[in-house]
Amino acid sequence: MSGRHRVAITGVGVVCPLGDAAGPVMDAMLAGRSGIGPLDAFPTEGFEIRAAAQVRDFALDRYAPGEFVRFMAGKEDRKTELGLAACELAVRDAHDGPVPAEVGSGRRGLFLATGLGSNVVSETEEDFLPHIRPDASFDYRSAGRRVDRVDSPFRWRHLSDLAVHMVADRHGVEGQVVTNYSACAAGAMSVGQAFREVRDGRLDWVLAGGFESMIHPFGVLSFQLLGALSESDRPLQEISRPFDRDRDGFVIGEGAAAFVLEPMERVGGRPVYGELVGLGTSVDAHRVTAPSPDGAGAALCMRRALEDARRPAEDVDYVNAHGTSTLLNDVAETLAIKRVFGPRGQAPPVSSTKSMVGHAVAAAGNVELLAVLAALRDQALPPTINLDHPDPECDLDYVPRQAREAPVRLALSNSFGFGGQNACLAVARAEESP
Amino acid sequence: MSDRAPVITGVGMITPLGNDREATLASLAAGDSAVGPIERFDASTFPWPAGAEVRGFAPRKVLPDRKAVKLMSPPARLAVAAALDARRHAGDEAPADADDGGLFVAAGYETIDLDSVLRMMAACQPPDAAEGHPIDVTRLWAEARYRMNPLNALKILPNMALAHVSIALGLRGANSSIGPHGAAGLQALADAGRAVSLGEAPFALAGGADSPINVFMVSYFGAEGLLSRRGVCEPFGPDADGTVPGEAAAMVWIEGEERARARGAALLARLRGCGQAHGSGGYGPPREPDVYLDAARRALAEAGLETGDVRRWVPDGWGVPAVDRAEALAADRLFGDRVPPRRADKDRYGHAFAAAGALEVAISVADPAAGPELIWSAGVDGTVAALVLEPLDAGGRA
Repeated sequence: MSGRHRVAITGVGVVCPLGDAAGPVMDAMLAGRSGIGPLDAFPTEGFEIRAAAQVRDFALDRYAPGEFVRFMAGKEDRKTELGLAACELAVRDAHDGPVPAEVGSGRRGLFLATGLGSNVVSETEEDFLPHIRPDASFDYRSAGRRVDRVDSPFRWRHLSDLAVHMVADRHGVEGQVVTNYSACAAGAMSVGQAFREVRDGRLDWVLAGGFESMIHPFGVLSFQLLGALSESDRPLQEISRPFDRDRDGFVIGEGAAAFVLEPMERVGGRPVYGELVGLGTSVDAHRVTAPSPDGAGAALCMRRALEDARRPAEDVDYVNAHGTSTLLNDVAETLAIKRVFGPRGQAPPVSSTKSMVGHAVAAAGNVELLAVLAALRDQALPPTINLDHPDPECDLDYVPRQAREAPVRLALSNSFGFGGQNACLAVARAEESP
Repeated sequence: MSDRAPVITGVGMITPLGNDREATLASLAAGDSAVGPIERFDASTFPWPAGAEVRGFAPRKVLPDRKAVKLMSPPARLAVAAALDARRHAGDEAPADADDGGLFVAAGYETIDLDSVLRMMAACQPPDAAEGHPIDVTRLWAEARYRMNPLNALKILPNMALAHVSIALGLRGANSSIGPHGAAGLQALADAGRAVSLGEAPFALAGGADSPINVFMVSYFGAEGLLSRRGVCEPFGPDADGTVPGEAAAMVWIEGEERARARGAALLARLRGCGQAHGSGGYGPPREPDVYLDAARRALAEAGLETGDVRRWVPDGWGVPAVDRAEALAADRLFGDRVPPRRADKDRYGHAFAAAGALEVAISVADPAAGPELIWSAGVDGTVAALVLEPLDAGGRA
């Protein structure tokens, strides 16, 4: 097929702190339920970080085929397992079985987002300790002598993209396979790039999404050292409070979400969650350590998403914000939204689902896309919970505390990454698109 | 051709053969090889002794923001150097449309900083611990963290190559950071070509950066059976036994044809078409010819060309026998008895993985074939990307 196609989301798979099924996760987002709890994935005695949005009671064998469960056994590779589960759920949701044979394998694509490998302490011990000299230097010769053996060090058991290859093989994807590493913007970019391939007729079926878990000692510590995490002593479920004057950092999250995208004309009578209509990307080109304070880069990606969708700003009914609950992001994002839409009264309602699911880093744009799909499904705006005292510099309508009914025909979802990469997805109610 | 047909107007590189485009091309013309014993770390007991290292590169002298250099991983430093080189070559120093300039960069896995890992591990052990004492995580919270570079995560993230290039060149347009394997460099070029032809970006910088000569990546590629134990890379050679890791960055300046002509740029080559494919034959660069064949046919179809139009073929040429055989078989099936001349030179600069495809394009632009050229590269993830490049008369400025 060639030409320009409408792109339907026909399957959703999600494993996140709010659940492991699309419908109930969307319900939870609209109900303002928090998925945040104690950080208890590893010993934290003496650590200031108390909260995390963890996926609880996860077991791969509830989702994935036996071959995956056996392969992953003992690897302690949480992010890969989350990704495998979400991808499996998405395909099942779209087709109630395997990918239909009439979609040629060369016309199938896989676009997944991920970040850093999720190494665990035991692996680091096994790999490094035998080769550290008493003076704490590294004995390369010792490492080199063992590197060719079965128990070699640095086996990279936790390759960040391991799930990509496994999922591609399982679903017979022989067209494009792309792994996106655009930090916290990666998830949205993956879905957006996949959307373009279907829209422009290069692929007929794409699985797109992202998977992430940085909830391991080195991962959480990395974010704390950057000063990005809240060390608040509030009740755990009140710590993530985007746009609130008392916000002081994000809550680390984890999860995976994947979406089956198909040309609308192939959908038949199957349900459609929403229609992807635009992707916009930009770079701040400011600093690698902080977003551009004037929101210029973030505004660019929203404008580009609307241009890509060929829709005016006035058509937007809802913006799902990146909304990390950090001091810098929430002010810069507010400025960006005002640059595109104007002040409160002109700008559409905005909310941040990170108040409920924390920050899933590379998968954030994927988990949060469910909030947009929820808004389209129920014609209601997911809330920003914990927004009790708006920051005077954050002066838009953030749908505080409770969901609200509202017509939602076109919505944006923002994701901004460390390093300044920004992505914005535009999603429409399927029947609303021209 | 539409006025937005993507054309290449500049290339930049930093490679084991030279620290910029001109030096690399001079070494190539002189027949030099940069493959030799790994010196970046003590690899004397490793079964894979060779690498192709960038030498004599002084980032603080080359890169515009000296303070930023300490925040950059090795691939990020290479990426910025190559990006500046490409912009110089394109002669597009201060474009009025820089805000819309696209940026598509492929990079390898995160670059682990061994020193910081060692510092952290030492601090995680009680002072009187016996050798090999396990890590006490709670010591991380107590004191170990104070010995760590707080910006370490920002240093190792794969997208930092793109981030630093965007800052150095002021590019704020459409972008994507992808990776981590051998097809990613050509995938980045394909993305850039599409961004330009769709009008999403008037021009774009695209390429790859990789610095795999460290204990982690050598061990990884070695354990996958991809590195030469003899320390030589012999693409398609009878005694080939693996590739040699190389470090490099290569960046390509791509713009719409009308824009390039309007500013009087030299039109060096046209990006005619791209194709991709993925093989399901297990982990590693595909050993099945079909994957290369599919990618190549898709690229030629997009280019609107027949196999008979191809004047040169640039395979990946890993020097891994099963992979080389698959590539050769694919060419036989694609071209029949008229396989065009082949360029496969990784024996001289090694395999720069995420940067490899972009590097081949950059070299081909500098040393054009007699007509359309088919370039493909393959990744350990089973992905193959192919690109059709058509050289233009570089001398003929519009």
